[in-house]
Amino acid sequence: MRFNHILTPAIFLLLAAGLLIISYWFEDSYLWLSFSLVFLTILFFLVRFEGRTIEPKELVLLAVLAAIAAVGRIPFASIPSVQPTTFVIMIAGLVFGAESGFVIGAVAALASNMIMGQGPWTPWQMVSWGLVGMTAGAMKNTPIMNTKLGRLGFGIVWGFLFGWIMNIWGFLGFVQSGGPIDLKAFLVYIGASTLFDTMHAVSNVVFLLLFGDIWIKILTRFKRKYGLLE
Amino acid sequence: MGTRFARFHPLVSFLFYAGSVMLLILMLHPVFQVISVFLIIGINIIHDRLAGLRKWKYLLLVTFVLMVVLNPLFNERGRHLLFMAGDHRITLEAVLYGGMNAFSIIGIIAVFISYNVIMTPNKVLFLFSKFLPQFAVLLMLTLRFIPLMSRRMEEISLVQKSKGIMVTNGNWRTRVKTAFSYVQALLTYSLEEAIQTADSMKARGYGTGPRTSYEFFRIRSKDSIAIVILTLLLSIIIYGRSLGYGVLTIYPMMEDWRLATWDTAVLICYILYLSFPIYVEAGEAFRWHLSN
Amino acid sequence: MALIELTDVTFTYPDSLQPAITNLSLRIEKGQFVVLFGASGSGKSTLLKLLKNEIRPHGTLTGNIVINGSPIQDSSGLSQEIGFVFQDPENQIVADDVLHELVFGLENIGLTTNEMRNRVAEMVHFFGADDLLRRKSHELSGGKKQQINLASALLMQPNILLLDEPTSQLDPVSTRELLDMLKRLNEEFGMTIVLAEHRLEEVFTLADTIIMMEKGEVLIAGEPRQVLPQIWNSKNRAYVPGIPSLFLKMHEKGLLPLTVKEGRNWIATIKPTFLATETEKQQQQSKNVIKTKGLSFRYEKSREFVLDELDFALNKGEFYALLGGNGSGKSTLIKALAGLVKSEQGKIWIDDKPIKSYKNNDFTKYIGYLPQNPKLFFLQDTVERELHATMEQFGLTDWTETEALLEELGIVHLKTNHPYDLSGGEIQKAALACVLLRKPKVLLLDEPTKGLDPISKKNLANILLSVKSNGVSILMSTHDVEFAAQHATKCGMMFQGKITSEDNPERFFNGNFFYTTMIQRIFRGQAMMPLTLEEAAHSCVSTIS
Repeated sequence: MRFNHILTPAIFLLLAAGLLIISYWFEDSYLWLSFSLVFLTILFFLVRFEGRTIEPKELVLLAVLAAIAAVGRIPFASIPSVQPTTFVIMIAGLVFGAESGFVIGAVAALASNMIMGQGPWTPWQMVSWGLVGMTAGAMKNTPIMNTKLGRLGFGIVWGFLFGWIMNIWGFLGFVQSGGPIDLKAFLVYIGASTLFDTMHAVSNVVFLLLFGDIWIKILTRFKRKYGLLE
Repeated sequence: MGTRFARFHPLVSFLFYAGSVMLLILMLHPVFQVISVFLIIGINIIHDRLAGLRKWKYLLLVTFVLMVVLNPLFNERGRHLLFMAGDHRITLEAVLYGGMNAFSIIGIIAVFISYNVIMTPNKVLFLFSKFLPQFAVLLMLTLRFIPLMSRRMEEISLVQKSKGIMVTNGNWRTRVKTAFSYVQALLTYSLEEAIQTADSMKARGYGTGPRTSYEFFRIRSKDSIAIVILTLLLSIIIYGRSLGYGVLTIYPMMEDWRLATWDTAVLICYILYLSFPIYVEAGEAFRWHLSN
Repeated sequence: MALIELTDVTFTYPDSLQPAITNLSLRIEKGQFVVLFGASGSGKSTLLKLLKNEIRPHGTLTGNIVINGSPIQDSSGLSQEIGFVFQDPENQIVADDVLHELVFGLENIGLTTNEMRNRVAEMVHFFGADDLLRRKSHELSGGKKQQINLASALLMQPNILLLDEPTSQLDPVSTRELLDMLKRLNEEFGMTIVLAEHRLEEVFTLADTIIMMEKGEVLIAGEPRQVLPQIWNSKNRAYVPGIPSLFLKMHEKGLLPLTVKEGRNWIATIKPTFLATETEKQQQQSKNVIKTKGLSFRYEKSREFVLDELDFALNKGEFYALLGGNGSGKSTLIKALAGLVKSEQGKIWIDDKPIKSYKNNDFTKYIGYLPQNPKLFFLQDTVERELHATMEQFGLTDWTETEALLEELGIVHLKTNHPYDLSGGEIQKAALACVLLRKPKVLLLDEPTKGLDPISKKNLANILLSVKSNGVSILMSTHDVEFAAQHATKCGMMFQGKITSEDNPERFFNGNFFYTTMIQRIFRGQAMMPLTLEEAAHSCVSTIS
């Protein structure tokens, strides 16, 4: 199953375009469209992942990080929005690159929900956390990810962005079918989640501030130890 | 899990759940939705005697109430005024609209509750290994590591407690630091140990050639029949939906909620689709009854 | 032609100056059962891994390794021919449930489902493991996990089986089971087996050849009976198990006894006479440092009691060894006494004060706990930093004292190392150093002898005895009967959450039939039943020689 690097994105772009056309047909169902787009995003990255031959060592490493990100959710389950998962995925993406970052985020969400219970939120979480890892990896050579301040900013932005992506499905569920998407309503909806998103952002900052450097050091050490330097 | 539905090929179950979620999103009509909620509750009764639903009841209730109440608060549109709250119009359209969305969302959550009972990790892994074999191995490893990590986490906190280092000690800052130092110990320890996992994979020939996957499930004739029935029903409903049946248009003008002939036809297919796990079980009980 | 042939093999790891294997030549014939032993770090693991291409470590390799006539470098189809079982039962498992685990290797080599099913069926039959198939892998005991790992390796239908200390994390019963399995594979299927192992007494009767390694070289190799006298006469005497030790110590001539049966036959022929030994010292009753009354504990409400109205006392200056089978509650008792789990009923007094009256730091100062897995002890990335953190926590400032402690434990040179880079014995000492820094009055150790080679075990005993002579009371749980008999001042047997018998080692083991030392077993029925090698050699004189 080797996918050409140009062919895969092309197929997926076509699929996305097709979706837009279908959604024009069902002109009112944004929820349905958004679900499909989310699925397509996940599938896109997974197919790319599939096309790469991955050493057992790397596979195990990804699994350990995803498992730690997932297990990290459990002790914090009682505090809404506060969890080390985002932090772990971010650092993992930063050290191991965009593709690994996405896969770790997506697997962490999927696997932890296989234990805590799947819901319609699963694909959204997969995409949100996947994107956390992906963007961290994509920006790993930029000044943003190479300064402490930049990383803190990244953590804050994702604290809110994560909440907003998760809000989309809730919001679309809320206004779907016929109702025009009202910007004011969306802002109100987002405002309601601001408290939680702020907590998420703050917890990201706290984790990054206290443990960011040491975790990058630890993971870089293991990257070398596992022989995974590119 | 003794239910007959659980013994179907994972593809059948997956198709059923994916289709159900799709229908719950698409078929926004009070009649359809009320029926669907009853059917899904029925499915949950059969699958785990409502144990899952009971666990999630607060989430369901809160979601439902919020959506029903909030929509009219934000939305004043509609011609049928119910009453005025101050100078805020509460319209029938807005209430109905909120209610329909609420039914849609809690219906989806309830479907997922049954999904969690039927789609065991084993089945999910099996499906992934068919389409994304390498990702399936990653998922398998992750699922293997999660219980291992939580046990290690417990051990670490126990051993650290014996050193007098506890999460319950000190101020907020030290607590977070302690808790996270546990996670960090877990990380270093697990990464160290996992090298052996990779060796054990290589020692058993992982990555040497094309990989097959053990067929934990085989498609039997009854699975094929189920797939054909479900796909057929789904196609009919979606075709009907694309023609505008099975949905109650609220804006700009609220339709009559009563069903037209074609709506009813779509509804019948809809019921047949959603009650699939129910009549499969009923058939089993009936056969059991006959043979005894 | 030998099945495995190594000529002048030297192997060096990338970041190391010293080769891990030096100029090693070795021949292993088809169908042989070979046991590799030697201190940790002697190169056993490296040697085994060099024999399996897929997991050959990075580094420079010179010399020739030829397996089944073809050099290992260009072996393409060898992966199935050689099975490998690793040390840690947990880390080898890749799947969440047992069936997935078993078929993992078969999927990798591209078998069809039918072939897989046949092989698994056969294997399940051989292992009698029907009921395990549907279990979650993390629910299994260490012994069962290791059996599954062995089964997974065997499913590939190898001709050669390499095992790297597979029993070091197992209790005696599981060890026995695993070794019996290996014996069957060797005898009934002619499988060639190379096993690295510390516990020689267990594998003697199985091995055709035993090979002692030291610093990457073969020190001694040959048949057990020929080789043991040589080992006895070297500095590695500690590796020789009890029965042959006694024989060699008494300068006996003739066939070297290895098993209890041979030992008893030998004793019967020499008709030993016993010298009168000094009468037993009267044990003075000293004060309790720990006492429990009616202690009950269970992990979950729905489960059985692990500790069941248990009464226990540890006296000042005692070295108490807690023995008993798996799941008898030994570890749990130690955890309860260390204040790590809360008992459901009953009371614990520490130094005559109820456990609840202690503040956290006072308690940890009084009681030191060494976990079964000392790796989990460390939060810092060097031994030195961990020591500093401990000193800070307990308000200690005198680094020279700490240095002296490290000196005493013989780990000064390791202080800048990462704890995980230390060997099993070393990391235990490092953790022990951190515990002893707090100067505890009581030391609780959870299976401290697990996985240690005989030399490290001896070191541990010396350390514990010196700690004890400083007035520290020690309680340890162990499966190691020989260790308890030699060093403990009191032994207790745990069974179903209670202590069923306790006494000094002589009387404790005299009353036991199965649960006793090798030496005592060969003397059973004689006028005296000495317990340890020293006692036996001291009190019994051969009438023939």
